[in-house]
Amino acid sequence: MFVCALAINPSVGVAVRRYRLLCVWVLCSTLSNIAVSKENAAPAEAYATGDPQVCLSCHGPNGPSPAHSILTTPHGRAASGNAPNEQLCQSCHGPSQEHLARYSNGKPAPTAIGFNNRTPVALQNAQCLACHRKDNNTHWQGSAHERAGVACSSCHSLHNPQGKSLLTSPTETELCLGCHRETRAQIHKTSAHPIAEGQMGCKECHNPHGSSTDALLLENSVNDTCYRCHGEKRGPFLWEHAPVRESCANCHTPHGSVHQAMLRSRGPFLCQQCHLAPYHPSTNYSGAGTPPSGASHSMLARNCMNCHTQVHGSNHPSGIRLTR
Amino acid sequence: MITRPRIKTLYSIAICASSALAIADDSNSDVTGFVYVGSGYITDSQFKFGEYNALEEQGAYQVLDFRLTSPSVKQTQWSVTGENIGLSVPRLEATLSHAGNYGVYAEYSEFTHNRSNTGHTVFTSTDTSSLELPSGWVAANTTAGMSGLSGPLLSVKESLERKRLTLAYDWLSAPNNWSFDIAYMHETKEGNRVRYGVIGNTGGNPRAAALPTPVDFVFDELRLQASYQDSAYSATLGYQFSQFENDERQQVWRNPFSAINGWDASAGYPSGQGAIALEPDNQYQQIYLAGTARLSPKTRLNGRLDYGLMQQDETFLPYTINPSLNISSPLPRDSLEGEIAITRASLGFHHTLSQRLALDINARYENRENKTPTDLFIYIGGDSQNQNNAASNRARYNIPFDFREQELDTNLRYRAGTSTNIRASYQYRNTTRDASEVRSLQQQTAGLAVSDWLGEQVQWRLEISHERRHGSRYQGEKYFLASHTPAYINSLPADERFENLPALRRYYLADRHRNQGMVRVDWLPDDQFQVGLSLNRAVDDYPDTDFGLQSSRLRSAYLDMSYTQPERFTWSVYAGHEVLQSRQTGRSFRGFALVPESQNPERNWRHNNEDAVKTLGAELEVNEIAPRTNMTLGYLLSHSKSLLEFGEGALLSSEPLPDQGDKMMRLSLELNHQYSARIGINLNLGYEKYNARNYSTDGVTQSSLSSTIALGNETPNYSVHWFLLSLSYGF
Repeated sequence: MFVCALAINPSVGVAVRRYRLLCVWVLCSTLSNIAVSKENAAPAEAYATGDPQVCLSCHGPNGPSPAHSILTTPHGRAASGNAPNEQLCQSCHGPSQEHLARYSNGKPAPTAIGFNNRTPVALQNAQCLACHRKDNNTHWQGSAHERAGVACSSCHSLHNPQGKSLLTSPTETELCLGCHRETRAQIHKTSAHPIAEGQMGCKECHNPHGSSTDALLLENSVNDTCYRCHGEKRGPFLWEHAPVRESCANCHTPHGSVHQAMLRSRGPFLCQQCHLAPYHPSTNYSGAGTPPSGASHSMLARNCMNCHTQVHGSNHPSGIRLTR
Repeated sequence: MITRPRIKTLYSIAICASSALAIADDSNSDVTGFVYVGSGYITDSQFKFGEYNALEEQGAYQVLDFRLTSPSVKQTQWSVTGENIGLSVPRLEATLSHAGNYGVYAEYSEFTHNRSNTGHTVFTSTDTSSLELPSGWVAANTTAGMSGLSGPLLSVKESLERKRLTLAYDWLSAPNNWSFDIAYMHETKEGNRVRYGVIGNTGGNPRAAALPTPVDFVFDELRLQASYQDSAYSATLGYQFSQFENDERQQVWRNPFSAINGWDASAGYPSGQGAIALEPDNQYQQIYLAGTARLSPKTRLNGRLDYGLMQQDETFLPYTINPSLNISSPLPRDSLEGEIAITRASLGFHHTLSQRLALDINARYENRENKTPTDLFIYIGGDSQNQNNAASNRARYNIPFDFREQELDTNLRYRAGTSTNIRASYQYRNTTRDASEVRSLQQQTAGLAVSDWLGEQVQWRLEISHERRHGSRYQGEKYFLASHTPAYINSLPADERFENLPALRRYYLADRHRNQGMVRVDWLPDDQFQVGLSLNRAVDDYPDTDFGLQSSRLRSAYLDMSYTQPERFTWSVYAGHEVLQSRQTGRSFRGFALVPESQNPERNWRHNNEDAVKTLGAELEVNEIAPRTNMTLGYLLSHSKSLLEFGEGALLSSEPLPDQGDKMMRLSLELNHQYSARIGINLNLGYEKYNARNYSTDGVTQSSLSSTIALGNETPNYSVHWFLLSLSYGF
């Protein structure tokens, strides 16, 4: 596919040629890496025996960090391929013989992999990705969250979940808004999807585990995501409105707007950013078109859409002006 | 508003009840869950308040929530959940799963969107696709002459109700590392919305009216997936089918206006009618193949290949519903035969070059090929004129829009020391459009992101990016020339062969320079206290735009803080301030006989727009405010203000607009008393006040506009109190 892109667009090819040294280095590095690849699995003796009973001797109901409840969940029942010999706790926490044996200042040594600041995020996530790679997680590598260093454990807690999908918050929206501060403000604007009311969640549009779009959209484009609930706007129509066909976000801001219908700006001024035709489309609209000074059809009620009501496209043979 | 805080409470009940009882019984062998029953009261009927919670009517309401879950020690798990039973937004969910074997999921939900109930219509019904006027209707060529507008009119409730059923089955234990899943969704959307309809054939003689329009949509979607995963590879092969059906083909209305100059006499009242085509049925099918490959411990690939087909082939309506109008050229075909084929491919290459250095390269290709046939349609302007000929400006070709996009996104990440992360990125995107003013649009973005910890308490992150978008030659007249017939084009003087000002640059196609920056700081001194601050700035400039959107500026700041005193209280505050400014320009000109007007700078105008939004939220949770009683206090303020400034050349004039905006303030109090280990008593009190100023609806009645019968809906302004008393029982 990438080769096809180079063939179709010469400027991509120019960019590759310009950085050919880097490309060659990456290619050689990759090939050599593949050629000598060898699993860096820990030796079997690094794993504690008796997992999980030996772990629960400290992490049972009465221990300082109880973890027994995980045994009633799928994660406590099925061993992953991360560790040999069907380990349970060590499937995720790595070889823990040292954690059992060596103490300093009266405290046990940390586990090989802790889901906290002491373990690099990539190492933590690799434990989860050993099992969770397919379906919705296909595009985790290289996604915005992965690049930003978000750990799986930032959002999911296997031992102390507060909501569905082992989330660390009661609802996914609450979880997302903890980091996405701007969205938390936007959803309270006068025109917004019902996120603040709990009728919609972030996951109805976004896949936090990655997708082929920049905004981690659930579908492959902005429009395809919108069509999930607004399928009537999919068309195709006889008379298309070009920016609508390309991206709903050309006119709408889905997290909320101070203008009706989540528009980026209000009519007729938004429409005039693309339409400056003779007479009313290019008119200088102002307060002169509102009471008590006047009453302009392009300013009051639904402004331009008092007549051009079919802005998402028309299938009427006389609908080229998007009035039919 | 009301449902939202309760969700948190319900989860708390579920978690507390199950864990407390489990510990008490020292067993996980019983069915657990809760039942929550409440009765409340709303003090005022306010549609805006009930926009999404369906509590728009004054009076009492009842609500039931429940959840039952199977014993957690069993391999086979099930749960049944009900939320908002008794309200117009109920949700029921049932799950059944066997660890590592299968999962079944069923969900039914209803959702209401209330838009307005303060408008009125001149028509005799609000829920039919053929609107008639009352007997004895006195028509006129402007609203001033319509005596019927001052009489009693029919109230219009604009509201949509969505019902959705979802069924899904996952077979996780298929042989040889395969799994399969199937999901089906059926959704209906019914209700009423208001659109406006116009009769008239030029920009100078339109007559419009607000039309209550019934909504009767049905959506169906089926997804099938087969997935494979082993230690090195994973792959998913999927198929999706979506279908939209609309029982209503058109909205017809009797023309309330009498015939005016420029219309055929039959277009006016009483014989005149208008018809709008409603959304046609459509189908979408897609197959896709996605996968990952772990080439080595340091190298991974992921990618996806999609092919989709959008189709629409509903039979066309006639050129006009008015049988008195002459049609000399029939429709070129009976239906659209519309088809858009979408091909997408993405490939990601992720390689760890060293312990500190990693490289990501993502490439994406998308081709939307619009295969809809092109034909000549000689349209009838607003059901009001006889058909013209192929040499007129009424003869138009439909133009199927399509585009191709290629993108290359490269990220180089470096980890310095133990906590410093640096990411440099470069993105190249090329978009090619066949029927657009700009054939090729290239966009290059370079970015830098740095994050680090200052000590063990302060984490910060800085992101900056610069983007340049540059297109091939802007051909503003391209669509005009392509959609008209050569005969018509040749009849025009050479300097009048355009529709929009040639110097206009549409913002989504125009050359653009974009600079963005973001700083985020989080101070986490301990597990109890945290403060976060984010500052954002984005600047868009359109250097090649004489007319159109010239620039936009966004600056915003967000702050949040929280403090927890374990077992005693938690308070949290968040605040946001966002300012979006934009500037656009235009030139007012009146027709092609006045070409000099389109070239006269004294007819230029500019609009400066500023939208400012302030948000403030606060919550205080106090435990044991009284024995076994917790309290939560909430406050929310959202305040927006929009300013518009006008400037123009010597030949134009303008008047200022009053500031627009709105303000919503909400106070809420929740008390939870744990009467016993199983029984809780809860009280919710709330107050919400909303004020808005909107020149497009403030004081605008059915007769405010001379040529449009408006809906006359009011700008919402309200204050509402509510309370809810409830019992919860955990088991």
